[in-house]
Amino acid sequence: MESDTSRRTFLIGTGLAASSGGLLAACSANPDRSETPPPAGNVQEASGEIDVWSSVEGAQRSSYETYYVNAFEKAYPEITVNVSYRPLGQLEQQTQTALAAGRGPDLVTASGPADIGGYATADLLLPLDEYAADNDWSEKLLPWALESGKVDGTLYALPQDFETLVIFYNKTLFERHGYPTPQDRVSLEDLCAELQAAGITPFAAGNAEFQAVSEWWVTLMFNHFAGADLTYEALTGERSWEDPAFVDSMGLIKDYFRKGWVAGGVRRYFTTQFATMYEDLANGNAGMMMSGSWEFPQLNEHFASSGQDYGWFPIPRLSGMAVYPSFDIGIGETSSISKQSDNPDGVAAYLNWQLEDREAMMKFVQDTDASPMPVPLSEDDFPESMNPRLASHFLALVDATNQGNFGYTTWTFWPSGAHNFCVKKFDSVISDEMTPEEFSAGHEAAFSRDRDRGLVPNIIPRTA
Amino acid sequence: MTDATLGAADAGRRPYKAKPVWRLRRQSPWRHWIFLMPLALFNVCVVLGPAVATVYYAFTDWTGLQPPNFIGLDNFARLVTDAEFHSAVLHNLFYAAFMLTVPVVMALTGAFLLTRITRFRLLFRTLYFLPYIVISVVNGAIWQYLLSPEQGVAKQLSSLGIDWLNDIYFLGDDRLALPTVVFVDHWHWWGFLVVLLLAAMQDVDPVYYESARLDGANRWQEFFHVTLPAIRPTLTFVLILTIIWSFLAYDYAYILTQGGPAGASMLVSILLNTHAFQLNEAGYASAMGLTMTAFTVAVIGVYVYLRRRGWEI
Repeated sequence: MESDTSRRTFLIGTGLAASSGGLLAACSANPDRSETPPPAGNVQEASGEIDVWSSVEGAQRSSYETYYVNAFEKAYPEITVNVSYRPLGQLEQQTQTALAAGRGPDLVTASGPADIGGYATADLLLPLDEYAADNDWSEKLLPWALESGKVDGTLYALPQDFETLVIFYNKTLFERHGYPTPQDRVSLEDLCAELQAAGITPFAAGNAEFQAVSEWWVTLMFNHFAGADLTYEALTGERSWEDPAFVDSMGLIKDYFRKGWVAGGVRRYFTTQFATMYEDLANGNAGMMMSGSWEFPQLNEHFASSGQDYGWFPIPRLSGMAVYPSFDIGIGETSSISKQSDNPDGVAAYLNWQLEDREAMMKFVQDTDASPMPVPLSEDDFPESMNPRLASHFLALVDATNQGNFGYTTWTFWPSGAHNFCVKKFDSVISDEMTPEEFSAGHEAAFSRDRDRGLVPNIIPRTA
Repeated sequence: MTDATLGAADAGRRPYKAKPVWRLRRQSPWRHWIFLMPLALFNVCVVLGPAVATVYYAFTDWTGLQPPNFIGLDNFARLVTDAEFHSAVLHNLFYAAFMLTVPVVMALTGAFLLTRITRFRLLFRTLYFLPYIVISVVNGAIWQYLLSPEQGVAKQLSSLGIDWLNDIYFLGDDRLALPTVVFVDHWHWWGFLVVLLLAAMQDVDPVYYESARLDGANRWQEFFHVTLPAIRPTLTFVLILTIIWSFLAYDYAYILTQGGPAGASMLVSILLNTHAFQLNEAGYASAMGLTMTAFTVAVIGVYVYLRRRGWEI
């Protein structure tokens, strides 16, 4: 049987179908968001269901469900929380795609204040000012915490945790050799030289698994060499990133890598995975590890295996421009209410409950060694059975931020373009492919582009 | 044919009567479209629709969240001056050059040798194909471990007193990172080519080999003068597929090095992903993707042009 369908007919049909598909894709990409949201209701009377997407995985998941889902549903029996778990590292991408298509969860999780600006500008998030005022959220959070969730003066997100960078060290090794914990550049460099002479790598480090480890070093140098004051001025546009203080900070860290004080060398830094870092520190092959509040679970596990002890100390003051002790504020996760949500009052009730039920939060922290929300914490909030290192860590962070002794982490306070530049180009500096001057010039250019696009997040002023 | 010609086995069945030709021509030609429609709809929704949308977004400043604004050729003008994009394209070209040579030569040799053995052929074919069916994340993790100076082959050799791998950081040295990534990808890919080429070689008429042997050809002469010309269409298909997939390479580079160190193994696919989802520059990422598509279409276009000119490739 001969077919009457010619190649021309086939191509015409396919072209029409493709055009229809393209029109459908284009038309459906941005749903109408011009509707004015209803006024905030009473969260105590909220009911219904709320959809939450979470990337909590492994052993933490059961604790999350116990203390962040079941405990809430017990307090609010009229509200059901539907949790959908997404792979770590893909949650943000999936959320972004879903929100752009008019779908997604009711509770929107972002990786920090720097990311909510895009959602807020695209009118995908519900302003939270009414809920904050009705429920006294400013009293329940640390003074700077509510400000961190604002975009152009409007509150859009609440921080779900807070974290900082410190130096973890092998306490057993230090006590055996009588090494002091350094507080300034001279004592730090003396210690590094002494450790290296003893065949011990001064700093365990590596970005083989997570390239963004490099931005921790950028954060450290900007805040503890150039100083938090100058960093604040650069973030707010009052100073250029090409200032000699920032150029010299990159030069200093490059020198530390060249000497082999970090990871034993540049190439080893690029190939070292997290497990090797923890093992090196726990076994005394490395003396120190510069990292953040999220490391407690891993360090507990590895030091339990090695039978040695660990501690932490604040990052030393590397120049006269910095202060000591100073803790760089990081926010790893924020929560917002989707403008598409059918139950914004239900989500607000969940956020409010998180701030009020401190017991559930601290039980989750105790179970998982995770970071708590940035609420006013005291020694009474930490049960005796909790990891004392973690307790002292967050108490020190709260105390320092209350006194205005804090700096700014790149993943929280940098806009996306400049942030990406720091992550990628730091590696070029330590590989001798880029000079510190070129890094600073490129950083300034990237930051200026982001500033022109209105992407710089709200920078918290450093006041006591 | 009449009813009288039907055998006893066909007794009871309605006699066959051929349909007149005019009735055949009246059958709707769109009947086959109904059966094709589900697959066509799937392709439109999943492949063609987003592809057409990508063309549209490439000419906009779409962030992935806000409504896009038409900006003309600004994205493409930016690509012309984007040093990072140029570097990534060069890396992809290196990728293609390697994958067009080493795995293809290995696959041709492997497939030819397989045609020459009778015992354990299935075993060898399975072993060659096994890396291809293992998920890339698992393959990548295995090779990361093997190439680690602290845990992998270097450490095992060092325990035997062989230290020459100790200071070689395959994934941490910016000179070695990209070749290492390509090697790992080739290790998973060449087995697939063996299966394709083996199937083509087995279709070669044995008469040609007999004729060649009668003319005094040895094994390698048979390979170059009988096998290669006979499998030319399959080989050309393999080469085009390799070029296309080299421009699309993503998973092994991302798993092993994330494009590092210091961008030494950055590929266009990783760069595109970064711009789309980390920098909220989905329009620019679309322009990048469209440019790579143009490269691929150019390759296929050259092939089609040469075939139409009568080149036997």
